[in-house]
Amino acid sequence: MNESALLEDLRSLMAEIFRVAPDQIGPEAQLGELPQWDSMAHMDLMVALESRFGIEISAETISQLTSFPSIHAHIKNRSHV
Amino acid sequence: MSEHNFSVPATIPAHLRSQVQAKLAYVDENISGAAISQDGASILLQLRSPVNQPALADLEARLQSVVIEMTKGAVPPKVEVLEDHLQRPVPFSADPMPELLANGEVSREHAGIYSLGPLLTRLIGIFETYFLQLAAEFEAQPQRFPTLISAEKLGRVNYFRAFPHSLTFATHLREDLHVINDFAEHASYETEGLNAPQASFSKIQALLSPAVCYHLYFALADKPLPGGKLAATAVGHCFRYESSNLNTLERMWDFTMREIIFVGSADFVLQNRERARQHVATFLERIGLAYKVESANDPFFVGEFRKQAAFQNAFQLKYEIRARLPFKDDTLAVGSYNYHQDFFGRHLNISLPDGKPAHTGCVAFGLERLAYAFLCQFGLDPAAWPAPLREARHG
Repeated sequence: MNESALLEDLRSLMAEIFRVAPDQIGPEAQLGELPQWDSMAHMDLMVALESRFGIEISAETISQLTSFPSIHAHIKNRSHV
Repeated sequence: MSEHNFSVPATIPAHLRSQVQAKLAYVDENISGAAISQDGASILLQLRSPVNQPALADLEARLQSVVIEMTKGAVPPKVEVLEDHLQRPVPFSADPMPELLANGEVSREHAGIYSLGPLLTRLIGIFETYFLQLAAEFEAQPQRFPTLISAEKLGRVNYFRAFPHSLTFATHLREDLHVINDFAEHASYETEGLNAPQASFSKIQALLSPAVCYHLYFALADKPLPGGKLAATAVGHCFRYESSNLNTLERMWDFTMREIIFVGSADFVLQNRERARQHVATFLERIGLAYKVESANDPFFVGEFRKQAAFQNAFQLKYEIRARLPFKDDTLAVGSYNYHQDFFGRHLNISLPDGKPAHTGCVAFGLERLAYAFLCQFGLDPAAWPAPLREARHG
């Protein structure tokens, strides 16, 4: 999967979890900044990322993946997409 | 009473056993006790009355759903121990409760409802004197909050989703002459409660408060936070129904909590939470308590548990002060350091000068539990207590 496809895939996954339109997930979107991205939605997102990209997310990592850029960088490094 | 052993669909991990076990009490009214086996592979249920095979199968299905819901995909927690003084030597190792009950120092009014005598009342008074000094260090303003809490406001902060099992509702007779006269004439207490028909009671507008700090957040709702920061302190009765988990002073339905509460920016709340922890550590050293401070999570109900607990753990939102109970080689949470991020600020629209939602946190002490844990370690004879407490008792 190329860079722009990965970005689109992530944006679409996050939009689905947060129940918003994909264009509401800006490039700097963060936990807490977007009203729909709260604690429950964050954990839903972590589970969805594990399933979508075949990775395991540890308790330590959950607290680091709090923005669109950090999630993008993590998936890029850890998955085989 | 009957006992039944059930195997579970997947082994319950060690770190979740106490939390799953606590929830089993809420599976059915007929359950009087539940224990998870040491290997986490089965559950022994004690039932108040025998049940037939279809009822047993239904019970097993509900049991399995609780186990699956709470354990499936659970992220192993990051256990962080901030302080460990569990091996601090203490002079007492017996269970103080038989003596406390025998000499009338503790009186059981009902399951989870206890009155305390002069020894415990004075001991709690000494702790309270210290907590007020601690609050003064933060210039925390004193507050008094009601025992009742608004159902509408609790709904606004999603409390019903997170902790439905432990709610205690306040109600009254409906404004209806027939209903009131009928109640006055026929009401009496039967084996398991008042015999009045449910239809006699009003819709629920208020509950008995499950926590102290919520009242402050409700008072600050829908307006800018004056000055952008606030520290406050209050003591109040809290009510958490714990079913068959209720257990003397360790787990009461009606207990007292002292809180020091911080509202402001994330830095303000986190710095004060940490400063408070350091002050409390000095106090606990002075009184010689054996304890540890480690990461923890709130007792969310089954559906919310896995995600909310993992979130709390990942973001280091809650730490508990766990005192040693020497007589049972276990620990008991007697206080906690909590950070809610901007949860209350966002749900209640409490804004900072820059327009962003306020962050909140609190330091909370369960007063009866703290006194009980202290007596477990030092006994009922004040002559054997550490000097600062002996002196405070006479001072």
